[in-house]
Amino acid sequence: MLEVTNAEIGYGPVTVVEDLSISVGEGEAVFLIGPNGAGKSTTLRGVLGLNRLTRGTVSWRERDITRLPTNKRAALGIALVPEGRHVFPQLTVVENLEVAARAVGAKDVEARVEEVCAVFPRLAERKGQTAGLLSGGEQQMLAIGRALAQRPRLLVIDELSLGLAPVVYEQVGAVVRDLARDGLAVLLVEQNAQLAMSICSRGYLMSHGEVVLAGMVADLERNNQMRELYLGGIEKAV
Amino acid sequence: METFVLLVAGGLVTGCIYALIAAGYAVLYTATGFVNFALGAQAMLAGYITYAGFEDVPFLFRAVVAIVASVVVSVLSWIVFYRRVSEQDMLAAVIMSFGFSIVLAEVVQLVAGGVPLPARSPVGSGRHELGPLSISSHSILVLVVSALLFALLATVMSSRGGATVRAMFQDREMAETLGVATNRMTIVLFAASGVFAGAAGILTAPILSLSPHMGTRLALIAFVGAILGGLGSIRSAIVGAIILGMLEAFFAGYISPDWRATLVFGVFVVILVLKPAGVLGRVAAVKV
Ligand SMILES: Nc1ncnc2c1ncn2[C@@H]1O[C@H](COP(=O)(O)OP(=O)(O)OP(=O)(O)O)[C@@H](O)[C@H]1O
Ligand SMILES: [Mg+2]
Repeated sequence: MLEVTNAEIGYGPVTVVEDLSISVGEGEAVFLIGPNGAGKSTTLRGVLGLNRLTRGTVSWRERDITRLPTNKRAALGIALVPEGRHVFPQLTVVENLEVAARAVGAKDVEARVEEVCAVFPRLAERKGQTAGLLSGGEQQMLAIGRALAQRPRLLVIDELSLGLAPVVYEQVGAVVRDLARDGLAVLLVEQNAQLAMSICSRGYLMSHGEVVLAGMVADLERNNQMRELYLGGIEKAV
Repeated sequence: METFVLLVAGGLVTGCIYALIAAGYAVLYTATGFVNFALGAQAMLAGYITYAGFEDVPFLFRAVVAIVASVVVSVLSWIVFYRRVSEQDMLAAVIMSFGFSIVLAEVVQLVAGGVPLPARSPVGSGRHELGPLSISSHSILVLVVSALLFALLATVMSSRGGATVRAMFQDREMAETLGVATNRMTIVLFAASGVFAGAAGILTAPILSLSPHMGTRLALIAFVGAILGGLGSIRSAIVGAIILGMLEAFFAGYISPDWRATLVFGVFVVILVLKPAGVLGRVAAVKV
């Protein structure tokens, strides 16, 4: 469904990602893991068109979208939960959701808000609250909810668990896991390998702007490099 | 007491005119980080189109043409000059808008001459006695029209569509990612600032009479007013500009009318030193 092929992505003169190829199939959940500064967020920015590819292509359901402006990609069904959440701090919870739904031309805005509230009851309790005053976990729920209000085909998440207490990220993780199980395609950047592997069926390991390892979760769990770097040694693995 | 009431009314009238320009500054600044100093020149242009000649055409028609002209200048100058320059260097774009306002003034001077021209208010020169206060029909027009425009702006901003605009003000990149056509929306906001500037020009000309450089003064004072309130919020910028109009009136009435400009720039310096985000402002610092 999403194919990034031989992508080179950077910021002005600085090239961060070089010759990177990743794909996400229809209804598939895929993670992207790697050390700080590996270029994971930059890759996602390329997928969303926030940074232009200087080489390579992004295609979406057989269509080349490399040059498609960012604001046209949401309508195709690509929704982003960005690093740092980026909720609209002075809008209420409901307004955040409504803006997202309306931005993709939804006619059933209210139904979508209710849908999101059913997924995250915590948001339902705080509908009228200003988003900037929510806790970190609630803001992450809102960022995910906002993406869901767009009824996406692909949910792109940058750092699902970052800065969240274990209880909260287990909760949020469970929601994303259920969505993936129900057939929503997910591209997940996540530092917590256990969490990523519990949600996704396939993954990539990135380092210095390149994919250094790729495979199904079952194989990656057995891979020594993966185990040393992310699964806390041999004992803790599995 | 009578002087006091008179000064409040007079200050409110000039303050509202400044506030129309200040609202334009704040709308554009929150959307793009850009300060369009040419709004004053657009007001001047609208004033000339409305009052200098074409006496046989109905006033309302002239006013509409004047506002359309201001809107066209607003939108085209953004698309043609400022947009690209501001992406590279915001300060350069701001200075450019200042330069553009001088060019507009020179063009008008070439066409209409540099001598100040009188402008006749569409509501005539009558006065109304309201208790201790004697207020001109034109002042009432200024208050009514600006109140209507501010109310319209507030209604639009608090509407559903307005939530999308506010989202864009708060996090432009995120709004873009969600699918908001931020470029198109910015053009609409430039058009709106053009309407406000045009209205300011049409309302101010009968008070100050027409002169090619009237816009420069208007642009600067309105900017100080907007900074006084806080450029990061439309409401603060409007309130700040009205407060500055009042301060100016009190200063002229009780101290000396000759030192008005000094007062305005005194306020500017004090604000920049003590509270750069504005007295009512929430943003941490002015971004220019
Ligand atoms: N706006 C920018 N301008 C220039 N370089 C940038 C910019 N943003 C990021 N970089 C650089 O790009 C590289 C990759 O950054 P990126 O944010 O993609 O990494 P990441 O894998 O998401 O890391 P993290 O795990 O810390 O989020 C870093 O070396 C960073 O310094
Ligand atoms: Mg990152």
